[in-house]
Amino acid sequence: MLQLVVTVLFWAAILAALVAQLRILQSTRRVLAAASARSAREWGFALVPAVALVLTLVLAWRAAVRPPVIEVDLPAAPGEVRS
Amino acid sequence: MTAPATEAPRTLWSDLVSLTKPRIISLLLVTTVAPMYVAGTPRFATVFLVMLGGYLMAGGANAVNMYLDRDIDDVMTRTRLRPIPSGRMHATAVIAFGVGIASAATWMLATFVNVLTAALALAGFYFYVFIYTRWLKRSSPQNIVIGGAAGAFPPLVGWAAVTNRLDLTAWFLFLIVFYWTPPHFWALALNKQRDYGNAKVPMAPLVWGEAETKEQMWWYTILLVALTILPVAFGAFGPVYLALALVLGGVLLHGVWRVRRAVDFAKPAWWVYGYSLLYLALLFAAMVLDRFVPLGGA
Repeated sequence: MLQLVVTVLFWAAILAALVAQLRILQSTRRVLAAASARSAREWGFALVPAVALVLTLVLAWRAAVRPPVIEVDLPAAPGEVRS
Repeated sequence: MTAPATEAPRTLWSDLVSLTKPRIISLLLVTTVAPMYVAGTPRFATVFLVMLGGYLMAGGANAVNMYLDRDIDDVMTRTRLRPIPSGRMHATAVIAFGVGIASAATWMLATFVNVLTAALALAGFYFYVFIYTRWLKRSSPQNIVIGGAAGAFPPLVGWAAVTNRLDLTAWFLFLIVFYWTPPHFWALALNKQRDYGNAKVPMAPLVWGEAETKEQMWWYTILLVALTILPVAFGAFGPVYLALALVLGGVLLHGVWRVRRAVDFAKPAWWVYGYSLLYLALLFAAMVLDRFVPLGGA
């Protein structure tokens, strides 16, 4: 049950983060349309965090779907030497 | 005859302490020490050294900031009583003090903790002094957005002090502080527009207007709350943290929503400014609490 809640929250958070980042970029486009000076630099300041966010979300998704590592200590086979 | 002699050193001491901005550093220390207990089980000596080193590094950055901003500090009512504009300290003494304690912090962290911790703390110092104060503060309305990275270094410092490396959870803590910064400082900027205008600091409300600033505050807060939830999905935190993060984030969202909707935003903006400080401290406390009260992982 808890796992289901976490999964729903995970995808809801991913969606919310992407929508929010998109709205921030839209807002930046509006304010930069009004002021022409140094708009390339200001676009850069808006895009760098956006790219970092997308990268982090991908890494979070990969970490979330990664199957758990189960370490099993198997008994030694006859004649096997373990360090 | 003796009264002034005993009073003078106390004034100098209090000025030196005020140069480090101790109230701001107290929050930085929370975001430094809490990740140490999330990352592992640090020794008390390591925690003490990281707190001392972190205080000296951040204090040094704040002192150098006051040196670089001494011209505009005299213009703004909020900063007029600082040691340099009030004439109590010479500017050269202030920068020497700032560089001195930051250098001491670098040596101490590298020698007694590890080199990665020292390098990250020093990177935060350079970012705050050169990228934020020297470059962005007076040239871009996104000064707070990019400059927010300087304040986001402490979680990395704390994490590296325990593990001597950085992993995904550490970078999430960095992003949480990074995205917390715009709504926090824009809440202040909305109420201090005249001050920033007098000092010709291009804060977002002055350049973009109040409506667009409030719009971005709202979306940055949604982004922040979303980022606080995500680490639970890959097992970094459990249900205790998740519940507290949702409640704390919900209250912050409500506060920023009030700012966004209000025509007279002064009161809700002050509320957001104050609560966001508490929010960050409690969120990091929740991370530690989650480690000590595990109710079953996600």
